Amino acid sequence: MSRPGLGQLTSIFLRAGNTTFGGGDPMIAAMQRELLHSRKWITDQQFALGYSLARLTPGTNVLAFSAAAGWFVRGILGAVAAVFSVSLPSAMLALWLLIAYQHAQSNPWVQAAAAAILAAVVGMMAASAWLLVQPRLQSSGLARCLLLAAAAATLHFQAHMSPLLILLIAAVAGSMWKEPARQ
Amino acid sequence: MNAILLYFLLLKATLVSFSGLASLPIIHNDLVVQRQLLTERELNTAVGVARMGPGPLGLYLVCVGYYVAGIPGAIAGCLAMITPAFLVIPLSRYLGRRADQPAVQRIIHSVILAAAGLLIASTIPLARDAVNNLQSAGLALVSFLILAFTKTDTAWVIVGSATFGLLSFAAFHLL
Repeated sequence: MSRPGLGQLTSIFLRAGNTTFGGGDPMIAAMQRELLHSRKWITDQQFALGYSLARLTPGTNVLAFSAAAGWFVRGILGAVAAVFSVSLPSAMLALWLLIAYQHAQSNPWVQAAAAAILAAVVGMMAASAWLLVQPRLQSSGLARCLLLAAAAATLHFQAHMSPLLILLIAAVAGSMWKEPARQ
Repeated sequence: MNAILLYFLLLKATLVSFSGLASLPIIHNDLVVQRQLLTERELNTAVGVARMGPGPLGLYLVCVGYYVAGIPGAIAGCLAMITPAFLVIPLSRYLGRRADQPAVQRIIHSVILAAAGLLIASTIPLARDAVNNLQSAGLALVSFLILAFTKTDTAWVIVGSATFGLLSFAAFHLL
């Protein structure tokens, strides 16, 4: 099979990245459909490797996955094209929405809507924290999950320790503290 | 603030976070608490606005960048969001399949769990600003329950809460 062109690659990532709502996992699912199932541009092994490495790469998982998939298909240029086509259009839309909001924020109707959105965002952040913990309850155990999260929250909120230092301590603790054996 | 310096500040946050909003506690600490370049409300707005459209959770960095340094800041935010993604290439070269090793997984799990705790800690000051009556407390709770326990898309929660805000404003002021 001939190697897909940069243009083709770009158009797949433009579509999967900017028409899929809901953050990382739905976007990766859309790319899996396009790259693996419909077009067979990457193999099952490459998908699995890209997926697990993306979780290990700092930053946004879906961007790291796009970089890996683009790299498998077209090398470094493929990675750059994939990452930019996934992120640029939605970044420009977010920026446009923010500027539009700033122009309209003295309007009482806009203020009423914004106040409601801000309250919902608080719930969204708490949900995001829960969704970080929830998939690890099984493999790490409830006690470990609660202890690590509560210790981090307390050290930051009460003792004002820097988040960077807390994450470093967590990494060291994780490397020494074995997880319970899986049943 | 200088956009280049801002880029490195934001990059520091994205380089040590592994998922979703995990970079937020560091942004909150650096820009809101330490340097006071951003208010609680602006950070909260950045997260909300970025979730109104499609794209990854990290997009809120674009809005944070814009608040701090205008358009060059937004570009710095976007670049700080995407830079760490390219680390996947050296990782796949040198780590490859060893990424699945239990020790590596354990470290990542612990860092993510600590990040969840940090995220809760930085939600508290944002909540103090945004949740100030029964209505907003109810909205925050409902939004948490929907997003934590159903597969509903965030954009619907944002649209739904905005509609609710408009309706209750109309009911209060026009009736």
